[in-house]
Amino acid sequence: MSKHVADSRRVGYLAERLKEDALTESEQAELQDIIRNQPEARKYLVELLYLSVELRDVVSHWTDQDFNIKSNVIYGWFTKSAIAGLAAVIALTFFLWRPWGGEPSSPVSVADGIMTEEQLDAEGVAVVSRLSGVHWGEGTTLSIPRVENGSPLGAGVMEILKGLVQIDFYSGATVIIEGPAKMVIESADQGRLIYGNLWAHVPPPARGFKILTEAFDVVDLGTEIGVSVNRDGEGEVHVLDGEVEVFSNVDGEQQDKLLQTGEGVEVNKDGVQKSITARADDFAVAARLSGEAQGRFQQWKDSQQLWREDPGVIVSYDFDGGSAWDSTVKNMSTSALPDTEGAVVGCKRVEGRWPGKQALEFRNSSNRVRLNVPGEYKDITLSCWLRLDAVDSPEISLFHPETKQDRYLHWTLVNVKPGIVHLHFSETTKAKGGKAERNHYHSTWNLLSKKHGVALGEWMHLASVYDSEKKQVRHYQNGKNIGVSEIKDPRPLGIGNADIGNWPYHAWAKGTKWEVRNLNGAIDEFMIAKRVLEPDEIEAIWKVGRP
Amino acid sequence: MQLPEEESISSRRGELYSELLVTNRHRIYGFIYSLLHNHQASEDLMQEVCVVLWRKFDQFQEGTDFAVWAMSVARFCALNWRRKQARLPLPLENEDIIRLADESMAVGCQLSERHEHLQHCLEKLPVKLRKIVKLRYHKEVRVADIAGDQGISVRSVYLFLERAHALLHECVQRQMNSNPSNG
Repeated sequence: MSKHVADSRRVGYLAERLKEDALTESEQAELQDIIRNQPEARKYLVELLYLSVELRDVVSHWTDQDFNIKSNVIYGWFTKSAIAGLAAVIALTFFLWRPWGGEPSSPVSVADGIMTEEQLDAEGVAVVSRLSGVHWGEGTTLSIPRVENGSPLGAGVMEILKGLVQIDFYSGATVIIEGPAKMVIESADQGRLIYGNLWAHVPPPARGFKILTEAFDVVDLGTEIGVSVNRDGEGEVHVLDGEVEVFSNVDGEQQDKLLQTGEGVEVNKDGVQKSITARADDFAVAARLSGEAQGRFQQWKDSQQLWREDPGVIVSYDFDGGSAWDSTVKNMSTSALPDTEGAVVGCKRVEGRWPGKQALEFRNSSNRVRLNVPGEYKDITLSCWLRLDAVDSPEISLFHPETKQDRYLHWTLVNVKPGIVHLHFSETTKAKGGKAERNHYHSTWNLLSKKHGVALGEWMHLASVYDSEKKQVRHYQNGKNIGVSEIKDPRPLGIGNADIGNWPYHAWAKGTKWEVRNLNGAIDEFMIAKRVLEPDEIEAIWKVGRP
Repeated sequence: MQLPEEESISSRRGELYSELLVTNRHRIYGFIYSLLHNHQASEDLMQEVCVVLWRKFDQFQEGTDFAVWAMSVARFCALNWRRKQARLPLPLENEDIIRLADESMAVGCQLSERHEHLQHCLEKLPVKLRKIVKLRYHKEVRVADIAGDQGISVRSVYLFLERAHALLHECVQRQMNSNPSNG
């Protein structure tokens, strides 16, 4: 029998992937398991396939009048009132999470509101509270952006190739897993370790928290423990503090051992238990997790000091150290011109690349940082640390000017196709007569490339350099050059009024596909230099700033 | 459906066949699609199955369930078809495809004419979900293209479709229980 039972939402998702002929190998394996071992889920899968055939029949005869649809309704989805969304969540929760084969649920009230992804997944059992150098494996079924955002997580699988992940279960238990490892989050008080090492801290309210493995189950009675399991299912339990109970099954007979501080047990794949002494040092991951992150945070602070003193740096926002109510970000550059602080509109201060480091989160079409940088510049380097959480519009503003000025520049992400996002720079100069002449410098590198890029929800460093001497615009992602465009005729550049993460709204765009350009994500460092930053300097910013 | 020339549709038997086929077409097609997972292939195989059904129609006993008989014929054709494919959206071991086929027959047998219920449930669907359903099924736009056209993420489209299907499934089941039609 399979270990992990797919819920109806997962089956629904897999059915869509199947119909699209878009299954990955691990999704194929999941469906194979459903067909083989999960009769209820299999039945639902088949019912969904029949339903899609019927829908095709019914809907193909529709005319627009049949359901009175206005164009572009979808754009409005994400800004629907939270109350309507919440009502819908409550209505949906009743049957979407109904156990298989249960009683028919109470009548569903279909509220005419739609939920954001956050609201849909609000019925979580855990959140990821810390990450360090994590490489996710393909077996991960949880949404990576959600995991990395610290958004609520439902049940699902986490496969970690490398790095450390801290999961806070809603029961109060904290678990740190070290890759390579595979863990199934099953409920607020239960996780299943397929293989790998974990450390768990279970405070009194979470007593009874369970860690299941192939060969044995651990019931934590309020304590700190380490559990490791290898790929054959053999494992060890080490009690660092407190008391746990370890169950296994040998030839149908239950083995049960109560362990105290300093004790441990080794369990082979047949469930046979053997006492050992607990080795605390093997599970000192919690200290390592904090230590590593703090060390890197400190290194970054040191390097940041050098950049501030660089005479070429005219804007340096690190978004750190402000109170939640601070509505300005200080320009930390020692060469800062007067009045070049940024005005924060609506953005929330959230945790950035390291614990204790702040970032600004941009979530909706009003969030922005407004700034004004006077002057004309021969060369410009723009640099920022960005976490892109979603791609909701064809163009996303990193740094967007007020276009009623004589000189300005755009720094944006362009969503050319689903899953493909390019970095774009342009400069505009208004000639006599007010006609704008714009030069575009586009990198065709996909920032979200599965192989070389980053995933949504991961921190990345982006930089673009306007080099008038070499007549080049160079783009960088994570320290690597991702495109060079030739400048035919270098011109002085201006910034003036501009928004970070948004654009000064124009009435003309209302109802067009350009209406929405705001960033859905976070920024925790933004720098403008009036000089060319060399490739090794940009690589250094990336290296020292890696989360 | 093109019937073989030498057979006469005007015969009573032919009329009966046409009538049964029209009534049960969606169940048979649904059964085939649930095993092939691809509409183009399913349409092609449906044609083949119809020819085989007509050829074997003298084996069909009037008064028994035509859909059950037709599905058992379609089952052979579908399994054969799968064996011949180099690549499938969902590869399955022999025993698993048989499990799936058994499940599909069971579900298909319980289905009755429920387009009316479905129409009613579609009307009750929130307008935004109805729009996604329309995009997906009216012109058979692919998920990735819906995402691109609407400027939302592919993941969101999957999420919304999954939501719409779950709502419709639940609603249709409820309608059937409270107001069964005689299919």
